[in-house]
Amino acid sequence: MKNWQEVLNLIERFNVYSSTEVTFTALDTLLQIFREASGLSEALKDSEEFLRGLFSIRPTSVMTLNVVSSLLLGLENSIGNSTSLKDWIDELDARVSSLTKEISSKTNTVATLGARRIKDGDRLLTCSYSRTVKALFSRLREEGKSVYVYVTESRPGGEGVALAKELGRMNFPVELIVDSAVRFFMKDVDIVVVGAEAIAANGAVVNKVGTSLIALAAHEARVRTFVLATTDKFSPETVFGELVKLPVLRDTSLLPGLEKYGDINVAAPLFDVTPPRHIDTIVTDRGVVAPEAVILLVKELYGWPPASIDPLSILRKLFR
Amino acid sequence: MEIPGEVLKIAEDIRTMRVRGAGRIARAAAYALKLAAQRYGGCRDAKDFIKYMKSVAEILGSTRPTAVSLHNSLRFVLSRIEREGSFDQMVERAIKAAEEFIDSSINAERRIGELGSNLLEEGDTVLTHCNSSAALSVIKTAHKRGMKLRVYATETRPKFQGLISYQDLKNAGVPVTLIPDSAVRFFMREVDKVVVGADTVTANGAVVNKVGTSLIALAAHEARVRFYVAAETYKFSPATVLGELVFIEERPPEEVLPREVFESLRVRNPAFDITPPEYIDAIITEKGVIPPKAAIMILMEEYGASLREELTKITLDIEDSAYPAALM
Repeated sequence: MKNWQEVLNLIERFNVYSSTEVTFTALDTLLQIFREASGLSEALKDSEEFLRGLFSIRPTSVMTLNVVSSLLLGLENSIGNSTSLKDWIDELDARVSSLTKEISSKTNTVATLGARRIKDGDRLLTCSYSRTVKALFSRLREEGKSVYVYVTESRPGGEGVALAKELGRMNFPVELIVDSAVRFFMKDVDIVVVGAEAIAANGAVVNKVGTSLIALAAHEARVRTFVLATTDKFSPETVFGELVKLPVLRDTSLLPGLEKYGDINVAAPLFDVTPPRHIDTIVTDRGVVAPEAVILLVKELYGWPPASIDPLSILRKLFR
Repeated sequence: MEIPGEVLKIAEDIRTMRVRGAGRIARAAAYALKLAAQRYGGCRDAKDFIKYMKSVAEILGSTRPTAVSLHNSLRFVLSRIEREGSFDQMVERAIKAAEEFIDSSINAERRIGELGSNLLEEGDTVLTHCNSSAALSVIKTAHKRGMKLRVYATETRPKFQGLISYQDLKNAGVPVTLIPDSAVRFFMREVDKVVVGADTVTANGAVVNKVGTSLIALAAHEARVRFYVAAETYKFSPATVLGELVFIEERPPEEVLPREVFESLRVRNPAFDITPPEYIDAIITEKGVIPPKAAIMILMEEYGASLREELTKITLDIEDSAYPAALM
């Protein structure tokens, strides 16, 4: 099995979950594909297969789509005519490291802005495993703010346990709860913070399944919900009414504890959509905005009307 | 007064959870009271007999202080003894009351199924949580009547009781899909009705049930999906009429994660949560389908006599103490 196939497996099994990490992994893998290829056409062919696989496993990861598209467009403009594999590798290397730096810096901006809205002693609730949310906690630590954190287990996948452990290691008092217990604990919570997989033009947030339930319970309890997301997560496609596709698993592969019961008819969605009315603000690297104002940022970033993005068609143009 | 060994044995079985499940505990306690009445060997005096039965009830009640069904079973029988009458009449009443409780408890589930199935309609998609035999009785009865239904059963972490419901419905021939607890809002737009059970129903119509129930009720409310609770009348808590709060047990973290995983973090594992009456369309009891806020009606019908007695006692206690005087 090729390395990139192994990477797809890791993403599919949620070993790499955070969409920012999925993006980093995609960039690194593309570079690796080029480094290991014997010729340019093999590199391009493997890249296409890898990206096709990635977008079918994680159709929701708008960030990966946006960042990979910008990488490929950049390559097309700078080196599209070259047939030297070495030139491609050098150019790709430079662009991957600059994109990675750019994303990290945006993430830190989001964390810094987010931390301003959180007071020492606040009780936060979060779910899943978001790299951006983790950056927020690092920032809070740096600012010497101590907060109390509830983390949901976040099934299917259960990656909330990993986040809870990491926050515990950062010396935050953490309590892990089952996904069902969200409303039970909501009365003790001051602020809900979650990451995002994708943000639609109307400000709706696609994130790990369960997020919309948490936001609903927060809304009911008049607890504020903050979504932390770099602007790479805005989906220009949704301006054209394109829906973000939400994958639903029909097996127990991400539901540990159920495997031993054999053949069960399950339906385990991986993501859900939180409507803008249940979100107080979206904290982005371009500022803290109301979900309904996301459209302004989309316009600023992608122009108006935004151009449609399809990384695979860009890639195909590169073949020639 | 000596208490028969068999009665003590039943108390022990309830204490050690050899007998469990709200319905079974309640029936075991009623049966123990019946035995106690039959085996009574003391003075043939009405007052002595009442005192004896009360002490038996106290022993049985102490085995599971927070089990509403157990206490209701004891209340049901005691409240029917404590009326004017001869010794013989009293023994007879005790035995009859215990038998009546056991019969009605057994019939309750079937009756709830019959009444509740009237609330479902052909083609409905029903969502259920945890494993409630009363709630499943509603679904299975509707299915037996030929209604085409589809069911979503939540897995119900941490103990996966949803799997028992899943298996039970599957065996009954009802098409059923298991979903993670976090996916409830995702699927709610496909759901027509939610049917769940109850651990306890309080005086104001709030329902204490498996953790997650209130979150489902909230999501149903948001989506304007009907939310029904199937609960036998012995799940209604008279103590809450007197202002007592329902105790919510927090269970050990081992149920959620293996010990080696949670060493570095705290796990909180509440067993139940409370669904406010605003989110409940109706409570299906064996006596009828009631709006949740009419819970007090069921409580007064079933336990009125003993409640009145306790209220009187509280009032007398207050009059005896010094504080009211100081306040007056």
